[in-house]
Amino acid sequence: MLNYYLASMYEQLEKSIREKVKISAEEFELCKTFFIPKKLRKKQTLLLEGDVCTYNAFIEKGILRSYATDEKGNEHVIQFAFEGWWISDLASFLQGSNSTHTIEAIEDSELLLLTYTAREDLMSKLPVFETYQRILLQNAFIAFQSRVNAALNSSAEEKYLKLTSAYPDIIARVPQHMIASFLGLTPETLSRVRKQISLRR
Amino acid sequence: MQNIKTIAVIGASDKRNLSVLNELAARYQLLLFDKNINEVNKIQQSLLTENRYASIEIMPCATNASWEADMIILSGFCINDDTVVKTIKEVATAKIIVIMENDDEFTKSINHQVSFDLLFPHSRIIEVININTDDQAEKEFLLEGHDSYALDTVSSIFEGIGFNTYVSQIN
Repeated sequence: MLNYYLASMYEQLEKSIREKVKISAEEFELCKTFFIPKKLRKKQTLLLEGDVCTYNAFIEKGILRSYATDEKGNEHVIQFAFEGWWISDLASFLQGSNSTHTIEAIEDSELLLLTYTAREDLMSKLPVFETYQRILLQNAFIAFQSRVNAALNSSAEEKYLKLTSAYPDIIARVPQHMIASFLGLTPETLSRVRKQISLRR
Repeated sequence: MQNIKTIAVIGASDKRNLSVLNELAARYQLLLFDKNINEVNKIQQSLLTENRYASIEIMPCATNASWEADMIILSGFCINDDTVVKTIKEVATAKIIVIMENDDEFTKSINHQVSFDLLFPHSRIIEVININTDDQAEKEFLLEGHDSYALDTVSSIFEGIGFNTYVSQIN
């Protein structure tokens, strides 16, 4: 049983890389040696606000969220990351500055962690990995622009429908108050939006 | 506030490392594994007596303990146990592995010409040798390894918990 789990430790990473670039079996074997396998339990943190973000984390299994806390102690969800996604505080990771986010596991999770040095070494040894990273950053920037546009132009209902159609799993796996926070809504508003949608159906 | 690191102690029932584990328990989350359940239970109780609010858990499997950990300590019988080495190798990639060498293991390792760098080719190996076994005297450790980052990390952990360290980087 354990051997099965160990064999599938890099499954999502391989899938993610192969979706974007061509990589040989030997190159992927080399790639694996740079990643730190790490399990995180539900509610455990990978990064605390104020620390330097030392890892760029790839999610093999589970869900993580990053959030910022305001002066009143309210949490504002910035990102969710599901299987096959990456999560970090990019500014802190790339510049070595103090993080403005906390990263926490929503479910028991299995991660593959890449340090800044390991990422640099891997990109210099495997140019194809640098291409993969460039494509990821492009996609992240596009997603960021789309999120800003939605925040400025979309209604609460449009934002909710867009999120749930892109990630149908999210309702079952993520608590509602976190989804509300991610969409910039109060839990009460989200509840009202959901009710309106279900009444119309 | 810093994120609390998790340390897996594989071969945790070795009493010679109790003073080190005692100090580590005050600052880190410990995951203990040992084939000898009774002995590891005693170690856990002893650590909890000294560190009432510490997070110290007994794990049923060396692989899961090492997978969850940020750093792995190998001690006692595990140092020369092929089965244990094989079970944790896959989940120890790129992690720091601290080999706690007391007199017996140190001699055995030399006799068997065990190279931990060959056993764990993708991990950062640091061998820690207790150079002052007198319980009354201040603890002093010699840290040996190739990786300067790992040497610095382990040295700062040991110094941080009140021990003296001497670092030897092998080329």
